[in-house]
Amino acid sequence: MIYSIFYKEWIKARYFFLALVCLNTAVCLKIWVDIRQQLQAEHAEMIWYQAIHIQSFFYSDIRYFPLLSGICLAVVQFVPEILQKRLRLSLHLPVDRERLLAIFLALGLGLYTVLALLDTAAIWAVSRYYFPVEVAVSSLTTLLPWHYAGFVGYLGMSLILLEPAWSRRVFVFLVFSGFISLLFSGSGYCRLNPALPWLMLLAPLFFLTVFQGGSRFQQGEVT
Amino acid sequence: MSSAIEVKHLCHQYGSRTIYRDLNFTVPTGTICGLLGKNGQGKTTLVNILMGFLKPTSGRCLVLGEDSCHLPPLTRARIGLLHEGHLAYEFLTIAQTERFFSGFYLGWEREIFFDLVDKMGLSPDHRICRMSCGQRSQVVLGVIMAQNPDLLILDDYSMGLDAGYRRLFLDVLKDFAALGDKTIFVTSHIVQDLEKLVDSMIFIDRGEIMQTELDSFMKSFHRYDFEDGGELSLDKDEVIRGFEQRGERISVYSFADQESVQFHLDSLGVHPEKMREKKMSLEDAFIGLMGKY
Amino acid sequence: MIHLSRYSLILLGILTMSYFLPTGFWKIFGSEEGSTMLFYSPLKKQFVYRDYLGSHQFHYRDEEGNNYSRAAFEELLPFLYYKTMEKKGLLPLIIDGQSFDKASIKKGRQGIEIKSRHLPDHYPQIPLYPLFNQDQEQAMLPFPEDVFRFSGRGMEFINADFNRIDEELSKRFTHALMMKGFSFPATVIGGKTTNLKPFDAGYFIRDSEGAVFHVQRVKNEPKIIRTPIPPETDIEALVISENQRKEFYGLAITGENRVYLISYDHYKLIELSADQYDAQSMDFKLLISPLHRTVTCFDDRQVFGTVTDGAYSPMKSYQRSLPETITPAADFIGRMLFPFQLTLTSEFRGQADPRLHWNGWRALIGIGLSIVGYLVYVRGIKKRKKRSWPAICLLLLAGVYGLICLAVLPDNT
Repeated sequence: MIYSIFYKEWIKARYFFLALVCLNTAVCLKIWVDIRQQLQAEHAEMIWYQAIHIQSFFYSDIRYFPLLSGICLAVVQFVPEILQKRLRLSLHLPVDRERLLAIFLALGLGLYTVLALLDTAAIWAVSRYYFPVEVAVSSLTTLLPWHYAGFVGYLGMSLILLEPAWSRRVFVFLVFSGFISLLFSGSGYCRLNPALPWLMLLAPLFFLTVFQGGSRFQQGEVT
Repeated sequence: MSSAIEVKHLCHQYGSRTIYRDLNFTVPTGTICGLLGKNGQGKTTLVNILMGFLKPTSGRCLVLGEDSCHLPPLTRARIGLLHEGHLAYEFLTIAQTERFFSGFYLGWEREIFFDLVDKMGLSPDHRICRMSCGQRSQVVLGVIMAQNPDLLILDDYSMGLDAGYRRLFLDVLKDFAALGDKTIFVTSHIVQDLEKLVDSMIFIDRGEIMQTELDSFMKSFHRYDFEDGGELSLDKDEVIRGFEQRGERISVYSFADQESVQFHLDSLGVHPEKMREKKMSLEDAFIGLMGKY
Repeated sequence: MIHLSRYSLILLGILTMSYFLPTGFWKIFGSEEGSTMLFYSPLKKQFVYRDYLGSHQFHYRDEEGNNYSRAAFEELLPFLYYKTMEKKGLLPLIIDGQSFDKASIKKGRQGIEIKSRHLPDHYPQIPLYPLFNQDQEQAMLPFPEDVFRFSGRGMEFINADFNRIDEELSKRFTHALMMKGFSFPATVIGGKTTNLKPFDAGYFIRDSEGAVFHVQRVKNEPKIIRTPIPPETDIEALVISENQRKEFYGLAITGENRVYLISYDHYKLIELSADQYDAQSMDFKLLISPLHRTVTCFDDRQVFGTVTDGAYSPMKSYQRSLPETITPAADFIGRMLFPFQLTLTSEFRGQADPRLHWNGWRALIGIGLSIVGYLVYVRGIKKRKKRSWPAICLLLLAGVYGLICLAVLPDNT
């Protein structure tokens, strides 16, 4: 049963997922080529100084790509279900609605995690190759809020697509995008570190919000 | 006899527009019931309520004994549902569709699915989005039949189908009904198809319904024709359930016998000459009862 | 599950609104934060200050509240504005019988500011530092090709060209440090990492036993001095500031918020008079003029100043509150409307500083109004008899934020 749902979600998402893999890989490659070229053109110690003390880190190009990836995955998964209300086909299956939705989200978030790990591994590898380990470590917690933004973006987009009432869609958009804007606030590395545990604590809440959207979709509520 | 579907005091409104007011009917297990109504009378809304896709304003619907708002998965497994427009996951191929749905039903009968689908001579890798409406309906029918359900709910199966596919559909439904203890609830706007299928019918018009056995309806509902030179206007009442004028020919529809109708028309000041009963098909009766508009 | 889902969205809505709504409100109804700059006037022999009231409005005043024009104010501070004095032809100055020309003023001036957000642990810092090579023959300070780190085993130099540890250099420095009794790892590292400075004074590094070492690189060789700074001095930050006056290397701040100058004279510690200073939430400033030293420290409410003589003996102290830039009405409405506010940044941190601020008793009025509004809506407009206790609890806790959530996300179950 779980396999069947995964199977259908995978068929829906696979080409877009591959496209996102290519896109993220391309951005990582650009980051690598740029820093490589910069290190050849300038003194390495100056690049290090800028990265460590001026906080102009070389991987900032990737900043919004996790969010874009998360939103794209939600669109790819839920738009075909919303068009002609096809989700009713799945809702009629002998599976508990919440379980069904949880599996939908698990696959989407699973694919998103693969993309996030890909980005993280690529940035880590480039950092580690050209910089001391401390710089690579700092890249992890700098990337984390951006990846979290993609996670929230995925769930927010899913909820907006499922929700039938416009007033609620606008509210969800404002709440989710407001929160996401906080994740991109500030410049420099590791800026959000002291707030990250608190922000991460909210992750289960973001996940849970989608289920009311599923219920309201099924019952066709418009208020 | 137990009921497959039981609707009690159902009311539904969209905003200020009332769709149903105090709807009551039952569909006994093992029967075929047709829901007939003109477009916009709430046939699909009723199916959506029965399947838990819409919360009624008030009232209650029991489907296979369960509240329609909270149909448990095990009950849903016993219901084959055809959504309006032969809804299907169009991004899947035929084989992928079978693989997807087969994972959910313990009694899934793969042969039934492919028997129906193979008739079209399409490759299993054919994507549903590239199919005609008729071909898609065949895949959807295959999915529903392979589930081996106890209750079939078909929302306007004939929509967009040509005569061949409609006939195919009917044949499958008849075979299915012959298995015994299977209930079919079907909505349609193509009336003559149902004539050959259903045991009982529900007419739905302006939020009100009339449920009747097909045989007794066809026996008790009459059409009387007569000719009249002038403009005639008759309102519906207890006796006259439908009225139609084409040129000089006037048709009056009624559950009453010819004598009573004649007497009633006389009392209204209409004095029909040479009034005689005319044979009707179900479609004629439907239009007589519901009107054309 | 559905209730849980709805309350999750409500909670997230409340949290997000409690960040954005007050921020937006204060942006519209309260101008920028006010600030005060406090100075000691050697002419008036009292403190003078410049209040910034937002919207490009300034007040120039002295302790007694006398107002000054900007030009008159600058004349009260001739050492600070000596260039203006020079243009006005007011140099040399005679103060208390002493004469000061441009050169002597320039020589006697120094300023050092420690912003709380630049202290260790108040901003994200990768602990890798460049150790400049002191070589008299070179006109400017070139960046070293390596950075150093302190590990539990020693001092490591990592070469930037190869991203590899320079074993030989690391060994030399580690050995030199050990010879002087350095106990690894380092706990506090202080030094100026830029080459935009007149010369390099190296790093001051506190070891794991509290001893402070002066670490320099002279002609690529380690020059390590174990300073006589007592190890029991609980130093938490070392701020180095190279200046041609060469009176002190920089400042040491302790866990008890005492601030010391590290003197060029045998690394003697000179305590600065700053009793109210709190490194956690205050910025600190030391202004040196040919006659006096002024220590000021301030948070977002108050500013404290002490003036000392050349030997750092306190002469006079002064304190004042920062000017209010918000009208009392806006302040009242803001506090009434929003029961609490979330903030993520602070003036005193170079990284996120998540905080929840309660708006005090006035918020109760707003909460009360929210409940009344809700009851009127439910009973009057929706004609429903039943009140929902969870909804009222929500309003009690979240006031207007809760009311917005209930309006947009009514419970339809």
